[in-house]
Amino acid sequence: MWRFFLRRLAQSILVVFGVLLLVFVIMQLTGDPAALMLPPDSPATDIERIRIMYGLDRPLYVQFARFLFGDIGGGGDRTVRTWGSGGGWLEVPIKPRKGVIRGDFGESLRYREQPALAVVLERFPRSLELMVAAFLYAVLLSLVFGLLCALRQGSLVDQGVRVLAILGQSIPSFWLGLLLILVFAVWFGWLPAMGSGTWWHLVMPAVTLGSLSLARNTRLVRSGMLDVLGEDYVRTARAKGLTERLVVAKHALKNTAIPLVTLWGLDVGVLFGGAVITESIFAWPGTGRLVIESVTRRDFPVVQAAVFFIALIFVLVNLLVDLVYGWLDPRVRLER
Amino acid sequence: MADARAIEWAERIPSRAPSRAEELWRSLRRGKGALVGAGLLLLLILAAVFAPLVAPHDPVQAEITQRLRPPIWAERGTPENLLGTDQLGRDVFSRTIYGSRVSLIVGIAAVLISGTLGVFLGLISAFQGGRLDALIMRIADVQLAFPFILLAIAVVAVVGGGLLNVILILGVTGWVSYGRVVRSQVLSVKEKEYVEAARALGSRAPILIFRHILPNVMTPVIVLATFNVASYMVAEASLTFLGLGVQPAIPSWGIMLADGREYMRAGWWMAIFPGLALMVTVLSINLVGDWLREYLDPRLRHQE
Repeated sequence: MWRFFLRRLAQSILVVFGVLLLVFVIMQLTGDPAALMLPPDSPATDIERIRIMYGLDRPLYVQFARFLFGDIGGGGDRTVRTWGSGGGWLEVPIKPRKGVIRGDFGESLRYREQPALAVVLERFPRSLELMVAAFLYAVLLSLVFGLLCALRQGSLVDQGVRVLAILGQSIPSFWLGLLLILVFAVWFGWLPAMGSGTWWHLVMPAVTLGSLSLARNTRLVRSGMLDVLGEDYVRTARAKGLTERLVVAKHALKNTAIPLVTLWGLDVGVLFGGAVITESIFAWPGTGRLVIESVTRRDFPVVQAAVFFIALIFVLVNLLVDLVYGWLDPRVRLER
Repeated sequence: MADARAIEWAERIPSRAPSRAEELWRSLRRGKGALVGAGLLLLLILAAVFAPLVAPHDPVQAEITQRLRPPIWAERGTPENLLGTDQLGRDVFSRTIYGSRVSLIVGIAAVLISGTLGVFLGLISAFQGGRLDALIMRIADVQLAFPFILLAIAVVAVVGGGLLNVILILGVTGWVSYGRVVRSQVLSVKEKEYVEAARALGSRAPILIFRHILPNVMTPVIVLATFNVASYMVAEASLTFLGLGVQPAIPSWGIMLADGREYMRAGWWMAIFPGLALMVTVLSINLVGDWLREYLDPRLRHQE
C-alpha cells in the first residue's frame, strides 16, 4: 500500500509541476505578456517599463525559474536604469517575486496591491458551497434513480428515467440555467435569479451545475447494478434465503460502489469546469466567475493563480480517489 | 467433382451473408432512437448547407421597427417571423438555421484535428515506447488535470477568440482521450499473431501500421469522435455565450443565447429556440453515438 501511495504521490507532484509549466507557457503564447498588462495602444516606453518591472526582459528559463522559486538571494527593492527606446533614461523598480512555491503568483492587476492567489482563495468558499450542493444533488439522486431503474428493469419508471437521463446528458448546462431562470424566476417568481446569500439562491445554480453528472451517474449506477445483480455471488446470496433488501444493500450495492468512486472523482473536474459557466450565469461570487471576470479584464496573474489552484485541487482529489480505490480493491495496487 | 462443389459452396457464402451496409441498416432500424437521431442530424446538415435557401430572412439584417416580435402562435406574432425576432428585429428562425453552420463547422473540424493529433501521438507513443512514450503520456496527465473548458478559456484569454481560434484550441486541447485510447489499443494489438505474421513476412513499419494495426484500433476512436462532435459544439456555444468564442457578428447559437439572456423578460423566445436547436443536435449525436458504440462493440449490447 505504501509503495502504491508513494508512486501515485510522485506522479501527482510531476503533474503539478507540468501544470505550472503549462500555465507559464500559456502566458507566452501571446508573444508579449507585458503588452497584455496594459491597455492596447500603450506607448512603447510603458511596455518596456512593465517588461523590466516584471522581469520579462530576461531569458525564458530565468523567467520560469523566477516564476517557480522567486528571486534567488532576496531580490526586491532593486531598480534598473536603462536607456529607453523613446529616448532618455528609464528608472524602473523591479517587482520582487517570492515564487509559486511560496504561493506568489504576482499581484492582481485589477485589485491593486492584492496578491493574485489571495483573490482566488477569497472567492473559493462560495464555489465550494455550490459544488458540494451540486455534488450531493447529483450523487444522491443518481443512486436513488439508478437503483430504482435496476430493480424495476423495463418498468415505466425505468423507461421514464432513462429517457430523462439521455435528455439530461444532452442539455447544455448553460441553457438549462437560462431555462430555470426563465421559468422559476421570470415567470413564476419563486426563486431569485441572481446572487447568493440564502438557501433559495443555491437551488438553481446547484441544479444547473449537477444535472449533467446526475444524468451520467444515473445511467452508470443502473448498468453497474444490473451487472452486479447478475453475478454468481448475488445468486448465492439469494439462494441462501436472504431477503431482497439484504441482497441489494449488503451484496450488490457495495460492489456497485467501487467503479462509482472513480466516477465521483471525475465529477469534481466536471463540476469545476461547469462552475465557471454556472457562476457566470447566476452571478454567483465564486472562483469560476472570477476566472471569467479576470479573463475579460485581462487580469492574468489571477487567471494563472485560479487555473493552477483548480488544477491542484483536481489532482489532489484524483490522488485521494486512487487511494480509496486501492484500499477498496486490492488488485489496483498491484497493477503497474 | 468434389472441388467443383466446394467452389460452388464457397461462392454461396458471401451472397448469403448480409452485406455490411445491409447489416448496418438492420441494426439502425432496431435502435429507434438512433434512427431518429440520424434523421434529425441529416436534416440539420441539409439546413446548414442550404441555409440561404431555407432561411426566409437575412440572418444579420436588422429591422428595428420589427424588434422583439414573438413567435407566430403568440399574440402580436406574425407569419413573417416564425420564431419571432430579436432585440434588433433580426429573424430568430433564420439566425437559428445559420447558427447551425458555426456549430457543425466547429464540432467537425475540432474533432478532425483532435482525432488526427491523438491517433498520431497515440501511435508514436505505443510504437516508440521509452522516453517519448513517457513524455507524451505525462503531457496527457497534465492536460487531464484541467477541466477541459477551463483550459480552453485560459488559452482563449491569451490568444483571443474568433472562429478559427476556437476550432484550433478545442482541437489541440482535445487530443488526450484519443491518444490514450489508441496507445492502449495498439499496445495490445501489436502483440497479436497477425501483426507478428505480417512483420515476419517483412512488412515495413508504415504498412504494418496503416494496413494491419490502425484499422483494428479505430473502433473506439470512431465512437469517441462521434460523442466529441457534440461536446465540442457545447464547448463552443459555452465559450461564445461567455463572450470568449466566435465573433458576435457571426450568427451562432452561443451569441443568440447571450442576447436572449439579456432580454429574458421582454423576449423569452430569444433564449429558447437556439438552445433547443443545440440540445436537439447534441441529443441526436448522442443517440447515434450510443447506437454506434453498441453496434461496433457487441459486448456492450446487454447493458442498455
